Amino acid sequence: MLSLLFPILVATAGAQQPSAAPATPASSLRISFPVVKYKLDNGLTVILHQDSTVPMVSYHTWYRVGSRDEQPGTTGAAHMLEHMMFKGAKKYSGKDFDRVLHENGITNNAFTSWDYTGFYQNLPSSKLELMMDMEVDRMRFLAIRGEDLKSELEVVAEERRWRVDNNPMGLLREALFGEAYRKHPYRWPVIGTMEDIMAYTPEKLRFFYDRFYVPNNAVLVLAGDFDIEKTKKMIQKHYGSLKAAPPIARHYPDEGTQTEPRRKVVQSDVQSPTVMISYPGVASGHPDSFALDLLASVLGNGTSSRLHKRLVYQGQIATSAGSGNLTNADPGVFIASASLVPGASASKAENWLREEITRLKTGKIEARELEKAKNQLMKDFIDGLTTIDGKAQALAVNEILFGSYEKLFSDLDRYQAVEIKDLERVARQYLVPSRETVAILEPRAKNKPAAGQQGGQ
Amino acid sequence: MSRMKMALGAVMFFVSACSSSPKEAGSAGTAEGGFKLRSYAEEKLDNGLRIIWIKDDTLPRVSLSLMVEVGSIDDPRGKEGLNSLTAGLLDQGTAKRSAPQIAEALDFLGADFNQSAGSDFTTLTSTGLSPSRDRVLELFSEIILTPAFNRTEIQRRTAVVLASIRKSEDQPSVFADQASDREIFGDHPYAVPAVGTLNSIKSLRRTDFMRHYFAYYRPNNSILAVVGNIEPEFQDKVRAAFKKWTRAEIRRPERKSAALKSARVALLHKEGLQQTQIRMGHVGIPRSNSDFMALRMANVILGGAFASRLNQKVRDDLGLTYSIHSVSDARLEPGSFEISTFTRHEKVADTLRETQALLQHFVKEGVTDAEMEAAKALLIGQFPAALETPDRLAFNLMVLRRYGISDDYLRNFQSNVRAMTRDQVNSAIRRHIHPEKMQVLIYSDENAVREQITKMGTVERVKFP
Repeated sequence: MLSLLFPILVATAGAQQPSAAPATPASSLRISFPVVKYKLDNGLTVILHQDSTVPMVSYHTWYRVGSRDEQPGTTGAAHMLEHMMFKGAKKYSGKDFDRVLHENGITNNAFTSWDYTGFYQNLPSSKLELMMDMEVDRMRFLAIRGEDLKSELEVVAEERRWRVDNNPMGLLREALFGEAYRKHPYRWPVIGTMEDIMAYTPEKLRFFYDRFYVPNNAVLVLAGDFDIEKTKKMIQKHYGSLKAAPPIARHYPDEGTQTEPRRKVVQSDVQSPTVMISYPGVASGHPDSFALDLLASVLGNGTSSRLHKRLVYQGQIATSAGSGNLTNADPGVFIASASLVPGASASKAENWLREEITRLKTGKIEARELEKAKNQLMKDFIDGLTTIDGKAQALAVNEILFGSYEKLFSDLDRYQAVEIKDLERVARQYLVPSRETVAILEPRAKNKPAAGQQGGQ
Repeated sequence: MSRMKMALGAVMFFVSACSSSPKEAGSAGTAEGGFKLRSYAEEKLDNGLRIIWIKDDTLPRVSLSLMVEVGSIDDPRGKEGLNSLTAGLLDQGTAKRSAPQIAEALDFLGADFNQSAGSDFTTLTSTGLSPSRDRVLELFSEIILTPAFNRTEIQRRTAVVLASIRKSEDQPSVFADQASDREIFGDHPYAVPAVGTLNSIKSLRRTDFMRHYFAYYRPNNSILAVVGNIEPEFQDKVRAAFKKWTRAEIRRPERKSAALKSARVALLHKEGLQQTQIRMGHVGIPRSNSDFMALRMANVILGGAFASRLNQKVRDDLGLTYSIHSVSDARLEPGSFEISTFTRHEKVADTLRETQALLQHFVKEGVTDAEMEAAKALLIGQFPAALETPDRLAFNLMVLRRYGISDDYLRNFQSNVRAMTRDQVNSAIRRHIHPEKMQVLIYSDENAVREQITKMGTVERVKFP
């Protein structure tokens, strides 16, 4: 479901509806809120949700482009372009963008993922038209100047050092994905390799921009305090003249079926090991994604979960342990992980994780565990809707992945329909030993020279 | 995964009001466009417990939040981390239920119990779905009123805390923050992480937790906020659950506030670091200081937003970092003013020089009228977001009570921000920001920065912890 956050230690935040059992506390809950959706002639998808709790608007512009649209040699291009979107267009050039937002009381940020790139602002309602003017300007006329890029790629290089090279958990995640995928672009990091980052040119990014930053590849979501009819007119006025681009042909390599277990060990100057085990999963919206989300929750969501009880509470070898089912636009991964206490053995943790995974296939999953997982997912779903920004995000991610924001609500029923036998089936079908990838972060042996990342089978 | 652009900065904007939580509305002002505070009610039980009620039916959700007016600032010397671990033990067993039973009961409802034990206050929160609110209340009050402090659970929890303390070294940003606190606060309790140190945690015994709990966990030392789908019937249940809690006189240790020190540059070395973390800061103001708002505005202009001077210069113009920001952290006692950033090893001297020059110019010349207008727009424009959810309002109301600030702070935020003058801001800057008193911390691999360091004058090699 929501792959906005990297769900290693948390179960996927997903929509769900409680089980059919009448005793379920959450079973009476039905969630929905009014949404208007339409398309402009140029293909821009518009989603509007009016909510006047505060005199503000959450303004989201998401593009269907992420790191999966890159090639070896230009990894990280989608993310680099995201940064360049703040470096000026035509009407708002150079540093105008940040400055004008600031002067008008607007905060903003952006993110890039495997499959999409999103820009969002929180603005006083009175600034809606200004914001639209600014977003249209950079959707159509981005500058991408050489001198800006030169300094911004140093910023991104610093970001990479901060997230990955100087951050052991970042190194481990990168190692896991680099091993779990061999063909599909999910194998390289969203931020890109340092080599590629330092080699971007305006031309490489321009290619990306022209191809993907077009109205028919974008979703505009507004949630907050505005008048629907007036806003529709405003949108037509500002976005209406943008030209549609040719449809984007997309071909992503099929990862194929993994036949042998894989293994990667990363050594770093850490106090204790972290162990991750992953299995190829499914894409967002796949019929099995609901059962897999709930299965991950049974295995590792919360302090009463199987993994926490076994590794943290009883075994006392980990400070945290969890599980998550990552579903992207293309098939994701089911991950279980544990962060160990100093001195604990990585191989013991690996064995215990694997035993708990095996137990999902061979042992019994209790009805109470499934019901708990459904309640937890329902709570996460509702927690995600407490702000206009949260609602806008939830609408945007469903629209961008499925072309249908309604999934946000209708998926609740899909979760509700999951039964124990579904959990048992997906456990057997997906958590297959020959498709396992283990990635381990371990303390470097003393007296060895320091280095970045070391691989090893 | 990729909340790429300045994720830190975005969080920081909200965090600047108060170190203990990201959502104090201090970061923004009362609204444009007729924004009004949502209504809330307040009462005091006979035992002294203050209860704030905020009814909100937009989602089938309730939250119960108790702020206890005790923080790591109250930890006895040598027993740092006592307050944090006491809070961490509350849900590890009660008179009626074991730790696993509590975890199972809460998880089954989709509910949770979270502890946040900061320097000035401790917040315990449960949120749940409305259909199970009675059960959530039962568990929440049981955890808070009848913790067992069972020896085995103490042992277990202590082991996890010790491991976590050791593992904080694996996160360079966190580790640098902790080391910087020590540089800034010297021997004041704010110098030590709220979670404690390896030695202090090892010294804690069951009697310490019991004594701490009974000394501070009292209704007359606490504020309860109840938010969401709440009917009069549920309110009665809340009152009934907490009325048996007994009051007691609260005695606090004597303390001396932290004071400014002469400038120093400290180098903390770790072999193999791939990037240098930099902090510079000094003792700041308490929340009660009348310059609080002026300094907050100054901070927006200096380093509290995307378009701030520090970010525009050091990140956007010079490409020296991904994130640079400043924080004026006002607490119960004088907190800190601090600038945080990181850069590649070969640019440490450049980054320090540029940042210090910018800061000196900022203090000497002050802010401009245009900057004042922009900062006002940002604070006023974003204020409603800081109080958007009833949970955020509840948290703000509790924090204000803890710091002895009237709710008028929220009601008049907009007009107070509008009325602020450039002179007020500039004189607050001169009074409270002291470039010549900076405690600079460089967390790096000395081998990679040695040449730059030798040109910096006196640099002290320090160890941490």
